[in-house]
Amino acid sequence: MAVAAKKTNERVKWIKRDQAMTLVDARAKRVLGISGAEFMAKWNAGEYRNLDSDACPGVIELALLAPPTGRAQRARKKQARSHR
Amino acid sequence: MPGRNKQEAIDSFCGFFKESLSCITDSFLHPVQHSANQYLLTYEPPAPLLCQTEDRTLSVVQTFSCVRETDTSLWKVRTNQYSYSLNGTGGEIVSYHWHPIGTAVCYPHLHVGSVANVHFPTARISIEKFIRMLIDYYDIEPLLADSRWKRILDKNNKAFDKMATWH
Repeated sequence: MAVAAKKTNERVKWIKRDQAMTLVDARAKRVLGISGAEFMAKWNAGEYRNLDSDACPGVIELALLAPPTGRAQRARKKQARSHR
Repeated sequence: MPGRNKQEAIDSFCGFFKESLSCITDSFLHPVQHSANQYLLTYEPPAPLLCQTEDRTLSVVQTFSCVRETDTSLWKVRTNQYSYSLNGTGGEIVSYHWHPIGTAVCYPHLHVGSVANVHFPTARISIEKFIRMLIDYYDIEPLLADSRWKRILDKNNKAFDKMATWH
């Protein structure tokens, strides 16, 4: 199993943290027509909280791609405790 | 599969995730580390899929973290959120979501493109089950021989069933 996993890791390419916003920016422009920074500002302000794929295709993926904020970090820690 | 340290657990997880996805795409999968213990896996742009009849792409985003098991002291990956989507030229065709952080819908659910504004509740879905559904019902052609992709998906789905802490 470990050998199979190692071989398929040849097509796994890590993206560094400073490159991650480039990824968010590209996706935000394609999906919403706005910059990644603008999306982050609106997301942190709760603007997309009630949106899902139907109303805004691709917004959920974008939200998952975005680096977590302080509020999201706290929510994830709470989730980790509840799903242990 | 658990690892002796965080990196081993993550590499193992990424490897098996990629192995399952290799059944239908050879695009590069991109892991990203957002913080000390927040990671995600994605394709950017969405991965093209082989389909005789239509243009199809695959969007995957899976966020995860590493936890240490108290009984074994081994590290294992825990999924925090996911989004798996089959896309066509007109948008999302079918997608499975679980995004309990920061959104109003906290339970795992399904979207069907032809049925708008409905979040169909589901169990937690493995990427292997999603891939199998695409092959069986959405005309997505596997890149591997039948005997090989079936074996990979079955093996890795059994590992998911064994390791997942909830379904």
